[in-house]
Amino acid sequence: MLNRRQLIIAAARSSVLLSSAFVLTACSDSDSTAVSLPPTEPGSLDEYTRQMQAISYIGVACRENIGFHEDQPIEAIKADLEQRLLADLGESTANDSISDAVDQAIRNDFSAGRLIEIDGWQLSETECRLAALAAVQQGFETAQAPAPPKDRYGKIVEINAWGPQSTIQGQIFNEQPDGHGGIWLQATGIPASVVLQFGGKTQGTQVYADHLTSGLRDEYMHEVIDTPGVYQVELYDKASLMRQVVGEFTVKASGDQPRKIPDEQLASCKIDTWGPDKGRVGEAFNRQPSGASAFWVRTKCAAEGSQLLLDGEALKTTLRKDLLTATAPNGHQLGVGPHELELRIGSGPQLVKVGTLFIEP
Amino acid sequence: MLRKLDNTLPKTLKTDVCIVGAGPAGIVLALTLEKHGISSVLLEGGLLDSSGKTGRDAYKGEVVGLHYPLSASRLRWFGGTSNHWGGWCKALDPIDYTRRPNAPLPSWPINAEDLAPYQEKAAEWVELASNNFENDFIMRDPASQLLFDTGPQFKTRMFRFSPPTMFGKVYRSEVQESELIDGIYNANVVSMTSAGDAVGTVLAVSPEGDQLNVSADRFVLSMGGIENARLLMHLADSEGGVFGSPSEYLGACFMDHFGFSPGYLAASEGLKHFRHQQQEGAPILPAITAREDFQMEKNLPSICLMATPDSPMAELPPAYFTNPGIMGEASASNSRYRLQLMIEPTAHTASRITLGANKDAFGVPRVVLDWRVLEQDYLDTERFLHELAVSVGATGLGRMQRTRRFEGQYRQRLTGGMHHMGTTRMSDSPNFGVVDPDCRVNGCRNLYVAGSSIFPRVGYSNPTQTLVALSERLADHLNSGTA
Repeated sequence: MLNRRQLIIAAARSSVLLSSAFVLTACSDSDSTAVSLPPTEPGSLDEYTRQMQAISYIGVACRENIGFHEDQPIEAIKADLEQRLLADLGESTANDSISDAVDQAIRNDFSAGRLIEIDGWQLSETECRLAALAAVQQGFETAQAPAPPKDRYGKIVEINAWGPQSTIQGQIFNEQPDGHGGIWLQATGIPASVVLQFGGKTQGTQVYADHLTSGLRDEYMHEVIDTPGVYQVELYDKASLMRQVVGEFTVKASGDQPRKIPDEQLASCKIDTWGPDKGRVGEAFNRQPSGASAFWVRTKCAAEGSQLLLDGEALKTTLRKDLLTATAPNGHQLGVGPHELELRIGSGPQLVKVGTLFIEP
Repeated sequence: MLRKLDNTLPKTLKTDVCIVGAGPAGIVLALTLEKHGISSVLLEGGLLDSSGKTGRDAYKGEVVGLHYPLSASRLRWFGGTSNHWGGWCKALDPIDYTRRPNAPLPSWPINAEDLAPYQEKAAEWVELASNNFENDFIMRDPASQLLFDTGPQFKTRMFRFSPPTMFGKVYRSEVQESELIDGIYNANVVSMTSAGDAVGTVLAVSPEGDQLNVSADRFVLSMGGIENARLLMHLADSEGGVFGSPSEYLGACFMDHFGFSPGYLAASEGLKHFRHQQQEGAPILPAITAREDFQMEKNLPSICLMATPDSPMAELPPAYFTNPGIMGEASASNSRYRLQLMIEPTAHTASRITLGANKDAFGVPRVVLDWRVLEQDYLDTERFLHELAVSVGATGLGRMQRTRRFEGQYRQRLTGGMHHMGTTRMSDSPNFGVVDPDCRVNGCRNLYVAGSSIFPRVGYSNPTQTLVALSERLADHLNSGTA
């Protein structure tokens, strides 16, 4: 704590010290190394500005904006700051600390419209002068941003489901009304600062209470779907600089996926009935208690391990005698238009077309 | 009941009230009239679940002013644009009913208190958890708020969110089962006949050529913020126009809320001025707004501000703001937030729709939209942002960074909220409006307008809840015996 009288004394002493420091700095060949200064009065303005953090950019920018570097004696800047702080302390705050004085002076600046703009930041004159003084004291001659913190991997949210996770070369996945390929992810409590990154590139992302939607668009989408390979999908929280791996999205080479099986096999694998073949955009089709959508397929050729695939994406499938059922957690997020349902027989590569689900507007 | 206009339908129908347009305004009006025992024919141009063959075509037009997605912003089928709305809800603030100093035109001839009981009902129609948009609810989680409430200039109000209610689906069965509502889709109104100073019948046609004449005691247009004016202008231009000389404000004062991202805010960590769900609560969006006294004192438009957490800035990192005294109580831990504004436009006659030379498949001239925003609105937005920057600094709550000024390309690339408002504005004087305080078209004793086209001032709040409230109010008027 520093009272009014102590501040005056400390300020007077620090003025002398600071003017020496300025001379030292100005005469130094080094542009950005901190200068060793004599000890300062505890609680003084000197101590405050010498300990100011993260001013290597803003302090120099403020100094250049204020202009005292070129033509104003450091003592005058110091004296001006002291006056401001003393004035803002007022008679009733005799026991306030220097940080209280700084706080009050800054508030008063804003109230009086004494603002300085640095890179768009609306700063108070006092804080800018403090930062400028600190930059001089700490020996920063050129503006340089502190090293930014690095991204790190961790868990942002508990992901319940996401998709689609693959497509066939040349095929737009989960095509939306405007032509882009939609990606969805279900999780609760997703921070609003989260974006989805696909192959290391940030994609437009909409965050909702229990899910997010994103996707690929235009040239990048075509670049991806035309190039077989595996792309890492991540969530990135811009605010906390945290990354979370969601999974991999695979673009399968068109030759790898037999879209048709030989006629003799097809003849032996008949789809008797299936459904539903229609849905409405924004709504789960054949809605289950869990909120998921569901398909059913009757066929005698399904074997243990058979799976239904919607737009190339494997669905959790259950087989009972000749009835296959499968849930589609993202059914309500499918885009308007056709969506292909296929059956993978057993665990083999063969795919049989079941039919087309049409999502209506 | 609900039925399609085709060749099996009678050629004429008679009812108490003929409602043209089955969006939120029309559906709420029909169902509320039913409670009063008043019958209605509810006409919808599109089909039940799609716009049909020609529905989309009817919405095509020409844009000559600021860019505007004329077709994409509307849906022409049962339930109207509620079939793809985002569910944002908020009643207008009381100040939004008043006239701003120097505003070129008067504001509402009614006030927030007049509409308050109807806003309560509207909140039920749009399935909100509560009609409370003020701060007491938000303050259950004070750490998530920029605590302007300690200062005299800004405060937090909040948006709530409808599921969103798709009126054509949620209320379809009620219309279907109603004995007093005759809902007819595939029915596009193209003309009206007049009898003295009143409408006698409307003629609706289907894309297939089927015709239906509806005669009624009262007629209500509820076709949307653009279509209401388009049809009225078409009717006024038609031979034997139905309501004398149209008001000079018909089609004028087209407004939409517009957005702007001015930069960033450094403030306490953990603020939630974006859409989120409070624990065990409904989704809310606490937005920063000016206090009414301050807004009046500074003559600011109604603007709200949202803030979404964003990446820290290397040049002025969070550590800077932890220097003692630099940023008040927010010093301990802070984040940078990206700011987004929703801005109220000023009503003015140069922003307007007119009729073009081309016609749609039903012979109704296509719309020409000339959306304009006043220079003063951009300047007022800048003043709002300046006041905000000063206030966050003076209250020790944070610092603002401006990365954009509202000029040049940012004015040319405006993004609207797709809220069409103002083209049949309400006024207590025929000299300044198209409809009177009862929503009746001046010069025609039995023709009314419902929907956001009657808004003379729009605030920053999304219009759906208020237009639903106005439909409830109109139903009361039509039941009052004075209509």
